[in-house]
Amino acid sequence: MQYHVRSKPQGKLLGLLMLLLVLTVAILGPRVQAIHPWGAYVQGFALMFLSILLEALPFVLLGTFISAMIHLFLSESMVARLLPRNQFLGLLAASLMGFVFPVCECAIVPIMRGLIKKGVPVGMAVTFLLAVPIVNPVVLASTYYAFAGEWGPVILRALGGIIIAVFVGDLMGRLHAHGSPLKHERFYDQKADHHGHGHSHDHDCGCGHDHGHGHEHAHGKRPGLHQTLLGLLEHTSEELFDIGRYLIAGAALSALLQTLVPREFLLTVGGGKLSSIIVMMLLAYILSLCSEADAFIARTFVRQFTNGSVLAFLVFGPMIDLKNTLLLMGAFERRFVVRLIAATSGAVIVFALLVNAFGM
Amino acid sequence: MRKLNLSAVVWTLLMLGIVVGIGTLFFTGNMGYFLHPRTWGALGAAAVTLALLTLVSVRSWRSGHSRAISFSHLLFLLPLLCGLLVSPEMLSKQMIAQKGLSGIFHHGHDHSHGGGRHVILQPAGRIVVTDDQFLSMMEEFWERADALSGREVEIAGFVYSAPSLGKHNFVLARLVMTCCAADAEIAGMICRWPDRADLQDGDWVRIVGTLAKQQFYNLNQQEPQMMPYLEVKTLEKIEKPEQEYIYP
Repeated sequence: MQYHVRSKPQGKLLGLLMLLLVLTVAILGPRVQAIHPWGAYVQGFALMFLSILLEALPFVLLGTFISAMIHLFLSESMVARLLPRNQFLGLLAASLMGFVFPVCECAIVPIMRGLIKKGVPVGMAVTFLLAVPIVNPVVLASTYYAFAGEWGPVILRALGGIIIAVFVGDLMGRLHAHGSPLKHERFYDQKADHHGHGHSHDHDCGCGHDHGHGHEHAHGKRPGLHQTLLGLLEHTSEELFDIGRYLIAGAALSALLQTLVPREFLLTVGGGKLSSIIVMMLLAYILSLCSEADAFIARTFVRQFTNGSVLAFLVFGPMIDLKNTLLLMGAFERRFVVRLIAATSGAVIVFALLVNAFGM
Repeated sequence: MRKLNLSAVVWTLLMLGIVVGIGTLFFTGNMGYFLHPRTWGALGAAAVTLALLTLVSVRSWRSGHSRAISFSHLLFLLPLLCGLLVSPEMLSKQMIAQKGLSGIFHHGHDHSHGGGRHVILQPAGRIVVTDDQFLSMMEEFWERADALSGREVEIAGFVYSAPSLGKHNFVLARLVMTCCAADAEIAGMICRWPDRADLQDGDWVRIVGTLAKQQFYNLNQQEPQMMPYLEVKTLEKIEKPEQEYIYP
């Protein structure tokens, strides 16, 4: 293939650097902490960073695996047959998919990317992305438990999740009605045309690289179970590399901010109807909590903050946070991500203001 | 035979590193400092899958395309380096300070009924707070401070001082991990112990005290509020327990 990226001399240098880094840290090890006055912060960062990663890893892996299955087994014609004709019903169905796929926000991005590649309309995919991490039995149950058996927050959270996801999905669907928002999609489309249909599935990973999958040779004849399984694993591994780096960057940023910025600094800023909402959304964004855990954190802010702002925290966090912004940036065009974040933020603010206005 | 595909080799090694890292955390028994035991099963399954992916990735060492070794590979190195650097410990007092004390003051809302998690207490005698019941006991002390006033309570935790509580008081605290160390929050009881000179933040102690009520400054609501506290009678320093976190 003519567009190989060969490893360049600086690549080897970088490899050497990596080896040196590992050796240095392995030798110095935990002693670094004792030597440096910032040691406690390095330790705190490392603990939180690793724990966020370890918590997310199973779900990301599940997401990439499902995405690989979609990639290999779901054809565009099947998707076209399954999609509801009515657009509103389609969006509503997408917002309730969490009851079928109870996955959290780490797993959802690769799945959504896979679905768009197979021809699911952008609007439905966005609704799916935003709603599933909230409107699913696991998350709603943990919300119920966190708020000691009160139904109010649970119902408002689910309702907010559905309404905002449908609204933003509809809006994004209109804005991106033409052309795919996936990164490098056009590049791969051209390649696909060039190579003919049979090869196109080797090139639509949307990650800016050409992947030579080990299963190329299986084209032409029907692949056996063994080949299919290997292909599935190899594709999962490729996708893990693509998604994993953004997950790591997101987790690192979140842990860094939590290590360096005292939470009280944020919390003293806002008590007003609007300012409290914005502060709580910022907090949800930075903390990048798993949607199973966030209700337990949210309840500690009840009374101190307006009810609308606590709900904003519960609704906004699973939809958009620092960790999944980076995941989205890896998969989609920047313009799409910026619009998605802006539209979601706006919708959540309006929702939270309404909650505050009606004093719920 | 094709040239060795350097980026594929590096990717295999990185995945291997992650698998070995997770395995080490499990086998040394240090996983509890990072994750709630409830999530260990999922992580174990992920590690096995990852090991499988590592094995399969060896196949592309001599085939497939090679990427340039890039910044992305360095990113994957970051968790491995942190894994080597980190010492398995509970979050330090600096980190707890960054998170804030709001977890201690969030009890006593009108929505705490109906949770079905009430503990049943003996009508008299000393109340011994165990790990399993820690959170529901805290809730109970806040809810029924008047009814329980004067009861003797035995409880263990680490010392955490908060300037807003005054210098004769400290929080007898535990860290509560809902999913992972990043979401750990502090929980505990305010204790009065005038003789604080030889107590350091982070010391593990077991105390016996009497439950009472008094005004303290509530950081959450930015105003003084009646809160339950323990008038400490005896205090002994203890070794840190096997299980430092509370896992609800």
